[in-house]
Formats: sequence, structure tokens, C-alpha cells
Amino acid sequence: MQLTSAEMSNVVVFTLSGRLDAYTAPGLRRQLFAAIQQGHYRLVVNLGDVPLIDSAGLATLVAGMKHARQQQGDLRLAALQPGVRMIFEMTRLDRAFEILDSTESAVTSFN
Amino acid sequence: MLKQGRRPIETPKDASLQGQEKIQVSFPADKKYLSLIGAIVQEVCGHVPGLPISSSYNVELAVNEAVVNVIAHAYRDDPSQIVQLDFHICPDRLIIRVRDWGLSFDPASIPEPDFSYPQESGYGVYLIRQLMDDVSYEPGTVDGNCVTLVKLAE
Repeated sequence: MQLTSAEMSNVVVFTLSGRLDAYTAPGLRRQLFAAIQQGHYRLVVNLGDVPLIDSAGLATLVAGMKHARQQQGDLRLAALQPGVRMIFEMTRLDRAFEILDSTESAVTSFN
Repeated sequence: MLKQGRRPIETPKDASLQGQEKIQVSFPADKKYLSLIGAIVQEVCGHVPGLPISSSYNVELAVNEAVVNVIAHAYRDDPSQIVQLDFHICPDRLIIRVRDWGLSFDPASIPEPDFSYPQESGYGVYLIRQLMDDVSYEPGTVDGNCVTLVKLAE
């Protein structure tokens, strides 16, 4: 999985490419927690190029979201593929996260 | 473990039954091979008559979850151990057996997630049950611990 990050309007945007699974999720977890530790509490994860997320990937996103919210921030998701969205609905996590269609709308949603 | 309203699904244990083809894959218990396993599962699904593409996605994820459970729980993340996948391609279904020779655990002991709040664990076994048409578990057989996953073709 490839992972890039950028800052837009005081929001840190992580863009993933490839599977978010038990092998690749720890790398994302490290990046998310590093950002929070550095004082960035508004996070967006763009999943537009992620075809599959497993339970470890879900756990990482939940952990990041909870941590960010503890600091009065949030971790929001953008551009879920249909298969990934199905898994979020199956686990009811689609109700726990703010999920937007694009990075831009996810960043804007913080304002 | 059957979904509500479903008739019991008979799962043949013998690969020599008529109309069935068997593919066997063994690999180290290392999470770096998850994407490789996923690609193999997708390709195998393409050989099952009548199995829609949407089902192959579900099967790929279910197998991923089962393999992760084996690596983490049966083998405690020891990459020197072996995970074996047996694919039985049948005229009307795909049967996948995930075998290990490590510590056994009972998936029935894993409770369903509490959906009232987001959790950081516990979705794996639940997803396997939701994504497959039948799931059964046989610990401690002559051929190791075995999780059997069944997906019916439509």
C-alpha cells in the first residue's frame, strides 16, 4: 500500500493506494498517530484507490478516529469504493464515521 | 454456523467426488502474503460456474480474515509455520478449507460485535459469517485445525 499525506486548510489528508489489510494497516496507524502527536487533530483519509479493507484496517481507522475525537478533532473518510462501503455498512461503521464523496468535501466539512 | 432461514449445506469432505476439482496452496504464516492470497482467491472464483464477481470480493475478504486469524491466533505471528488453503471447485459452489497445525481456537466463542459503538477488534469472525453462505470449524483433526468456508453459486 502506498501512503501520501498533504495539508489542506489545516486538515491533514492521507491518500492511500492499495489494500488496507492486516499487513499494511500498521503503517497507516503509525502515520495517523504521529500526526495526532504532532498536534494535527483534523484528519481525512481518502480511500478512493483502496479496493479492500479488512478488520485490521477497520480497527486502525477506528483507533485513529477515537484518538482524534479525544482531542476535539476528527478523522473523516472520503471516496469509499462500493465494496469497502459495503463492509462499513455490514459492521455499522458507516454510522460511526463521517464519510464524504471527495477529499475536498471532507476537508470543507471541518469548517 | 448457518444464516437464519437457510437449509443445512452439505459440504463434501472428499475431493474425489464427481465434478469437483481441487487446488491446494501452502504458504508461510506471514501477513505479507495476504495480497497474494487475495489474488489467488479471485482467480479461483473465476473458475466457479455461476459465481458472480460480487461474490468473489466477499470470498476474498472472508479468506483474508480466516488467514489472519490463523497467523495471529493459531501461530502467534510465527512466519516459520505453514497455512494451507484447499479450494474445491464444484459445479454449484466453492468450498475453501483453511488449515493450520497450531493452537486451536473456537470462533463460536467470539461474540458478535457491539454495534452501538465502534470497536477496535472483533469484526473478523463476524465478517466471515456474513460474507460466506456457510462456515464450520473442526479443531484438532489429523489434518490440523480446519475452517471450512462455502460460497454457493447463483
